[in-house]
Amino acid sequence: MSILEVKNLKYKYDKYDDSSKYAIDDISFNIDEKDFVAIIGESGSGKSTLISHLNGLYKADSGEIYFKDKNIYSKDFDLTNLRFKCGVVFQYPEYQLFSETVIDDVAFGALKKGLSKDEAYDKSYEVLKLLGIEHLKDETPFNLSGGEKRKVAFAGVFVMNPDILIFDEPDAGLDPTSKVKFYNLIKSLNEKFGTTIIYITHNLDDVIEYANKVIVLKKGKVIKIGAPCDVLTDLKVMNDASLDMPYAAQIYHELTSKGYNIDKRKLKFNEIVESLTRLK
Amino acid sequence: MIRDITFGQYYKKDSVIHSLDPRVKLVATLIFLISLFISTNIFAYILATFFLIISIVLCKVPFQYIIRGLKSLLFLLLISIVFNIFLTPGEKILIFGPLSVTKEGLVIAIKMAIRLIYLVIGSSILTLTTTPSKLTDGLEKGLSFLNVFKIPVAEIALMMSIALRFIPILIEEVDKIMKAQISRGADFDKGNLIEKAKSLVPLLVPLFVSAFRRANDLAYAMESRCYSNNVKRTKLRPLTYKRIDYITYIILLVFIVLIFITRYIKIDIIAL
Amino acid sequence: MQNIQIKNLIVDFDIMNSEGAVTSQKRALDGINLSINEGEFVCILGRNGSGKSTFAKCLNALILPTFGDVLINGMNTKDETKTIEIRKNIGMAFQNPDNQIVASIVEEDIAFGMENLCIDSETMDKRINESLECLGIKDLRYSVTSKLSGGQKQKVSIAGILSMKSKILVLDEPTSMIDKNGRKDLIDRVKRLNKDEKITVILISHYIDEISYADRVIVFNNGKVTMDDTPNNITLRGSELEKYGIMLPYIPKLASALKANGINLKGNEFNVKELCQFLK
Repeated sequence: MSILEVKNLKYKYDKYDDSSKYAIDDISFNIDEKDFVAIIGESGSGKSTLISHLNGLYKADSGEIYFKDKNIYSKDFDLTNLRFKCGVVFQYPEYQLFSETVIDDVAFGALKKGLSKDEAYDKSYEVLKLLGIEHLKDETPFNLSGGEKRKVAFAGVFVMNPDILIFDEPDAGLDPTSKVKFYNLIKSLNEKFGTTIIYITHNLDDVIEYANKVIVLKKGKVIKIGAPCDVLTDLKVMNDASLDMPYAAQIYHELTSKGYNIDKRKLKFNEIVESLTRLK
Repeated sequence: MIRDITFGQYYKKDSVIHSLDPRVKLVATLIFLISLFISTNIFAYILATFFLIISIVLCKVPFQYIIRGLKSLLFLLLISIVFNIFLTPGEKILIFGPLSVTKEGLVIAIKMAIRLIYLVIGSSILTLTTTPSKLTDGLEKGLSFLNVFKIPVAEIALMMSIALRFIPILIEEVDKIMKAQISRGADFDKGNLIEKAKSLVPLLVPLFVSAFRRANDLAYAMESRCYSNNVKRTKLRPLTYKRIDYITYIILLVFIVLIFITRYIKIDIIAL
Repeated sequence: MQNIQIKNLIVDFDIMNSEGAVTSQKRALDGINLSINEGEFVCILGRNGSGKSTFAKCLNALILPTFGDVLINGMNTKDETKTIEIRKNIGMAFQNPDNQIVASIVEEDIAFGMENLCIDSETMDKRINESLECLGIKDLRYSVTSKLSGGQKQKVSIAGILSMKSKILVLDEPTSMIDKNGRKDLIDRVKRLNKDEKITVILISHYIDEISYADRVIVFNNGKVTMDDTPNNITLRGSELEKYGIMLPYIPKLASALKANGINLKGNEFNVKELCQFLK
């Protein structure tokens, strides 16, 4: 079932200048419940601007967004409520933390949502525990390490119990081990609780590993939507988007050009190890 | 959200105004501001308008871009107009219940509006056509006589240019912080004045934290590049006056003299 | 001739409580002995907090040793009369490109270091051109610094260093805030400086794929040097790297997985073609 539908969305920053280009130029797509969606594209292709529309932070110049079949731009739609349902975690955690202690910070959204103080703090503690950082609850957020700050910022959004979680480059600046842990966590949220995940990334090998749908942007337009194994192996699409093909797709092409038969639908790391071992 | 602030932003273009010595532009802006406040009749205003139009045309910055800075001033402008229209005693021309519009009030309001708008446009032209470092170079050299009083003009000038450089970065940062908090249910438009002021606190905390971190990083970067405050530094482009600068000084002199002359033209503008 | 010599370097940081009194000390660097030769390209890896950034700041006297010595071309960083000379020799670029640019126009920023060295404006003008040329950004000379991309900003910082005629370049995670294309472009340029201008490069990174550019890889853990080897050999020590929070890039990881499955590979292949050779 469709949870988020974007129709003919258009937006530009410089409204006074007619010659300026649309940052979002007639974008339409559909996201189903339980989808794990990656948004990719070179810098300046409109990825961040796009996700700022999905929880109503920016209002499009034209076009519509439907959240569970309700138009978010209609007058009687409760935008604040949408923000609880559609949680956005931004790229730099520094800009998202502001309270004296970690637990206060995490509880902010829960309190705004209308939970009682006890409920909000209980819930916040639970979330910290889930992320394995409950020992930090009385620390100042500003003294934490980068990875810990990121987790607190995530906890602050997750505590609102959103149906959709949106991330802007969640792995930028994370060291590789923390990165794998992070992806495994959101993958398990996606599988266990059915949380819809939408995220922006530059790391295309991870897209093959985790996502079930990928949206390719170029200069504010969607140039392709589909399953990662189809989209990321498509030479023309990747060329048009000025993106390097992920290694898995490069291996796929190398092998097919050598006349080997390899299943396009099996490009995850372990699957590639398996097929290559079999080819020997 | 608050990206529209033009003040302090340089607009790159190749024009006569851009190429003028910053000291000339500083003096010109000062003279223009003085002229606005000593203008008494319509001739002075026509002269000032003429001066402004020529500057706008010569600086080649798109007009829409220049007046964008006015938007943030609209509120202030409206208040001062309303107060002047209704609260100036004199000959009543319109009456709304307890309030009345007077002829004198109307004239003062119009003058006030013109002055404010011209003031903003005039100083915008200065900052749009001069890079912050040129601006501070100009101030540094123009005010270098203060060194005699042991005022560290060069250091203050460098501090100012760095502060100006960081304005766009901090504006963008506030934007990001606001977006993050709105996404977690904060509402900056709701509530009375006190509630609004309170909602700003969580905005300022991360801004300060980040500003301190940036300052710390920048200090490291500057030290790495051999900066130390007790060494004399050279300049990439030492300021020197060119022909065009002297010509501009002469034009400015003529302009301010003309403005003074208009003070002796006896015409009742209220009658116009 | 040896460029950099580090003898038993120990750095302790004071930990302060909220009143500013020193409560304890944290050892950031714990007995480092290294020597780095002229013209080397060294890549330093390590998880966050392993001491690699502290190490970088020790090289140009931003941080002074608690014990031990750092010698740059024979000059000790503890000797205050040599500080400026040392900083002239070692140029540093930092992680966040925004926080190291002083001026609002590119050429003015590049000139900043030279102005501090009291170089006359004619020479400055010439050197600005040369250093912009070296980095392939001649067209940016009169651009506004705040409008540049992250990669361009880092290039401007490096151009500023070159203009001071520094012979050693220390880059402290210069690519962590830059997108993938900009990253490759930047490191390619740095490699060329290393080759053509014989500039010693010390690259601190958490992108392990950048080690393919280096002659030598040093791994930090808990303030100590734990590995010091060639990129090829380091790649073969994948499990050891993982212990220090570092994960192999995609292709070498795949190669070593295949090797473990009994396929005839060296285990340190870096590109797709090399990897697929065993199939011939």
